[in-house]
Amino acid sequence: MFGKLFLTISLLVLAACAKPNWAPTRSLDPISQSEEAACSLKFSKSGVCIYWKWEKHPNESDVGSFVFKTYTIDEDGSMNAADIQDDMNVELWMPDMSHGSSPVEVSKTAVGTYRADEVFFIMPGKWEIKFQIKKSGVIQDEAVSVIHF
Amino acid sequence: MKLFLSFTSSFLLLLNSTNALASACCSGGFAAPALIAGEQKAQFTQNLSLSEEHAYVDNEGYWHDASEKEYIQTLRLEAAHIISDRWQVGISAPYLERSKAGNSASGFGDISGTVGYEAVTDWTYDPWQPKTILFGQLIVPTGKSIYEFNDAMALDARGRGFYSTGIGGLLTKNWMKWDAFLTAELHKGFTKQVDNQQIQGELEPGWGHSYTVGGGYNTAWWRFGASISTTHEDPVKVNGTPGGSQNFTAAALSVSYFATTDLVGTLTYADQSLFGTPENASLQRTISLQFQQRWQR
Repeated sequence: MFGKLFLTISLLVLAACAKPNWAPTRSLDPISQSEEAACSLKFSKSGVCIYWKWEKHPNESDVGSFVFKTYTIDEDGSMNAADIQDDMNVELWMPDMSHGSSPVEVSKTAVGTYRADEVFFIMPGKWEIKFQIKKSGVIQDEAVSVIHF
Repeated sequence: MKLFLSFTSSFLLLLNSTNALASACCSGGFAAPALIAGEQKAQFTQNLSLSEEHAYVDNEGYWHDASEKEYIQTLRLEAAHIISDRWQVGISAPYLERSKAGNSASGFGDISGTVGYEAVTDWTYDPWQPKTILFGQLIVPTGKSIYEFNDAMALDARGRGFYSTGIGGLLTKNWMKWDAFLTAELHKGFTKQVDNQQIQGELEPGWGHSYTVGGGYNTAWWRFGASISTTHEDPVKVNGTPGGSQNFTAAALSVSYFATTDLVGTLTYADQSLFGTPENASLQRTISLQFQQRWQR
């Protein structure tokens, strides 16, 4: 009796074996961000364009950094640096897990140009890079870029 | 008599091995209840485990190889005592050290308290009716959670972050040298307010449930067991926006040695990457060594 039971349970267990679907190697580049002139990423309220690219890729044990620009585009297609008067903040958010990562340090290097340092993702998966304009700690405007880490 | 006592109190060893070691993310799994499954008056358990992160599975079901492994060492102390013929209380306290890439952080995880009631006894020696212990559980978020960490790698996240209550049942049965057990539990976390650099607002956890089924073969001094458990956690809502649900399955093999009727050592290997369809989960492989001292009625 126990032999048959053991066989039945063994077959059920084997049928439930995990089937790993290993993630393809993906670029760390932002999804849905085309060339700079296309203004494919913009702040939701002001419409100011934002473009970013990695300076140093982060990995599972080390931080990375990226630079980003804020700008507007004239009717003739020329790009003008947009000087953001309020605080610029970058937040890393994992939407599928409802949590963030360690704080990112943002510094202004020129008018409309910023560097984000200490960029670190605490686990693999889909992450949002939230560019936030804050005034007195309150978010005034936001642009969200998505990557797969 | 010794054999009977060994059978009836060995279930919990394996129950602990599959549930307590399982963690969806950041050491935040629901704790196995500290219950006396046998006929003892009291028991004290020390469990030392080492877990290695094998892979992380994201919301889309993709497995990510952990090129930089994370290791978790856990010392879990548990105590349980009867307060009447059928009622018992228990407490479980884990202390964890998480390490990765040369960095580490340690501290207490979530402490849990359990109240158990033996709803169906095996005093009648019915050949099929299982002994049934119903239990209620309270989880106190003494460990920092993934929503409140300070460490750059979040290694100081050691708990779920919510007060939670749960109810469940443990069914056990022996047939000669064989034994089997089944446990099921349902839990719900309480909403809490968070205000830190990462999150400002309300965290609302959902429901979660887990099931474990297992069995074993016993000799006079040894027990060889296997079990499989599956766990589900509803998404956590942050300011009303839900994330993804978590699912994972853990399988465990164990061998126990009964040094005396009242002293049991158990070596267990548990693996969360073998079965099921995990989702939003950090899959770990764990080896643990457990010692349990019991006091007879």
